[in-house]
Amino acid sequence: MWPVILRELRAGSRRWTTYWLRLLAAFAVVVTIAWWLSTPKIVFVRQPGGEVFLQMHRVILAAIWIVVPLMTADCLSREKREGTLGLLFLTNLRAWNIVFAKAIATGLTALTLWLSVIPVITVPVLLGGLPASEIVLSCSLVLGSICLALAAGMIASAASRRISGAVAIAIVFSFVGHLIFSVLVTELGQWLPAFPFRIPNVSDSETPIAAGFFIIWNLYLSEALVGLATTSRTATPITLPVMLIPILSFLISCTVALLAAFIIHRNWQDKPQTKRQTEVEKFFCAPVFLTGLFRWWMRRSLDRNPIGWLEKRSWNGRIAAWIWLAIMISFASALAYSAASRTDFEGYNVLMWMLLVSIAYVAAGSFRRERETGALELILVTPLSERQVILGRLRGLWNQFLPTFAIWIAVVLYLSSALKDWQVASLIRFTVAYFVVPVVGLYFSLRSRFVLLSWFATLAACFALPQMLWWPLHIYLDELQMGADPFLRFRQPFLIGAQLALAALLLWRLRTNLVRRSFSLR
Amino acid sequence: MTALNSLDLTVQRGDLFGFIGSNGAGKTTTLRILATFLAPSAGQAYVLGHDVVRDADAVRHVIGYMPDFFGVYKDMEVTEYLDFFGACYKIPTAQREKTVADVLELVGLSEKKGALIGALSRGMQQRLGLARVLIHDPQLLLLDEPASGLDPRARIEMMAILQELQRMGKTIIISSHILSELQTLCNRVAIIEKGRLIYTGPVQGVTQQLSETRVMWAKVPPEQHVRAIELLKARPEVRAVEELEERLKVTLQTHDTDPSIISETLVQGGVKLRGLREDEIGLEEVFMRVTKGETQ
Repeated sequence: MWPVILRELRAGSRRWTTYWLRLLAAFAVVVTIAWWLSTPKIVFVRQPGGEVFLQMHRVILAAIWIVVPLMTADCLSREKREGTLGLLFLTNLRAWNIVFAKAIATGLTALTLWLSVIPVITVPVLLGGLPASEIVLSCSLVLGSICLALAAGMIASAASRRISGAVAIAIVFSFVGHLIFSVLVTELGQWLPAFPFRIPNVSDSETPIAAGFFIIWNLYLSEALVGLATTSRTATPITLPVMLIPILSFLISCTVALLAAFIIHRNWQDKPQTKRQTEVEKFFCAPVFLTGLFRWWMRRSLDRNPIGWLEKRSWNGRIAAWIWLAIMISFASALAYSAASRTDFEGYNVLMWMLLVSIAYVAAGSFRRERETGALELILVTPLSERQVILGRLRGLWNQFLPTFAIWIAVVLYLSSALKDWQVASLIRFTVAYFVVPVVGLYFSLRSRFVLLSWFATLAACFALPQMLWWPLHIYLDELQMGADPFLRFRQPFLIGAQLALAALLLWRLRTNLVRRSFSLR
Repeated sequence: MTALNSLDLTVQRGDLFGFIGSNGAGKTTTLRILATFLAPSAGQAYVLGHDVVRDADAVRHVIGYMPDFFGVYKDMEVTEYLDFFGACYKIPTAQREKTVADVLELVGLSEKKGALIGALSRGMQQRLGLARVLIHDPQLLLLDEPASGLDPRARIEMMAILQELQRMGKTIIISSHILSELQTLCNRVAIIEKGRLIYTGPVQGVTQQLSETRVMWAKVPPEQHVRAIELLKARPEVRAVEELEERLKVTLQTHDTDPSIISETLVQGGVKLRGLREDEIGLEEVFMRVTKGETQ
């Protein structure tokens, strides 16, 4: 097991992403502190130290549940794709050795991410009002989260061979793990009298999904969980039940890791598709209706835009588009059906955010296959210009999700008069984002060999960077005292302008990189 | 790092040109420059009169580039893959179907036209790569290690296809490590090392130009070996004489030295000369002699 751990750690130490992730983690926490302290409207209900620590804790916990499963998602599936898993099985290693070695190596990397933010924690300690019990509780929640998030990523990696599949499963399992963890913490609070914190019970009238969200939400927002101790300004003593959180999480994650080992033990060998699998795939994935029209449409698409055709030709690409269309229609119908949510613009916004995150993932992995197989080199020596290659791919991405986006626009415009907090600026911003995200994603898909990194970079560049640019301007406007709501007057135009400027810059850089061939091949 | 240094090379139309060099010598870089994939930092390269940097679009229409990897979409069908590249080369739809069928026929893959690429063997994928190269009927083919990793039968078949293409009037530049095959296949070769050109010219002339001396094997009766060695060593044109395997290995001072002096000397000295032939060294031996195995 040690050789695998050492190999993983050595490989990780050579990856520049490991260093930058640590830096980014610390930076995110610093930004959170700075933002929290500089926001003028916030009234501290607690002492500043406790308040700032609570925000830091939320950021760290959210980052763990997002980053760790994704970081782990490809560790076994990559070995399967590259054929190295079989080589490991030819040695004396057992399946559980490999899984635990990978989990330990990834867990250590996750721990170093957490350790990198620990120096920043001195800030709330120095600010005052932060008892030791709160730090201990936060640490136990973080450790427990790391264990379960690792397990979620590991089982996803064992179950899938393709990176996109592994990532999708990891996201689902991350949510499930999140829920399990929240329930675990809640139940500990219910059962053990010595447990120092209480979480409000879920109302009986809530639906199961809403209840799940409520429980998870408590993990981050409930005053009862983190910070209750300081509202009374008395330090709660550290009790043993708090330590049960990481211990129980560790045991659960070990069980899940054993399950992952069982799965890879069964499916590590390349096996041809069974007759039944082929039949099922053919039944569900081959076009059945209007096949003549479908062939004509695909041929026309190939003639007009061969690079865009690559996005449409695979059944999984088409399925992604259709699934999103179905989700949009279902959610839009559900929102419109419910009298309470019909007028809630936020609900429609969440749908759009989810769509944009999906588009970012597809765009961030757009050039990956061409680079891995070397097809990009072949495409670039055809008479297609770099501009045609970029525009072809962009048109392919835009067209793939256009029906979903069009439905969203249509529903929102139809209900606009009834929507609360309705803003034309938001609509324009989402429309701009719809066109900008594929541009930025395409740039990072060429820039980085790692899909997940490209994905994060795309999301950060499209959404976090404009916000960060807005922040100092916001403070400046506030200092000028430009009316009561400078935030609302300038924010949306600024964010839209920043996104457009960024997209123009990255489009130019993308073309330059393609022309100069300044990207790593295969 | 300089990949290519003062490389001055001309390939004539219709040549089947072998490009030889160690790993890292600069062969792939040269082919990538000619294929317009890379731009040279200095110097010029022309393909059929078109500058590869300024007139890259025109160059791309007349070349077919096959890199040392497959570059295939494994989940595509064979015809689908060729159809895609046909569309990239802007071949009209009506013409594309026939062209795909023709190139598949040429490379012997007609029976596999509906197969998934991932299900093809390595040799078949290599043939598919060649079919892709031919889809737009290019005049110049740039083939980087087209026979690497193929079994003997597939390699022989690949070479036969290349000879057929040469007969069809294509100019072919082929980089390969299998020098014995290049020797029989190519009419001209170039040898490069550390980005510098060591030799370019006809295959037949490579041994003459690259060997300083000329080696001849003389067959004389064993009892006359001593006498023959004395006679030959007395000639200033002869550098060395050795007795090996009941024959005499005579090394002449230069490659231009007329080998008939050996027969004249021996016959005039009363030695019975039963045979005289020139030492034939292969491309592999020449390559080993002239290169030092240095890479960049």
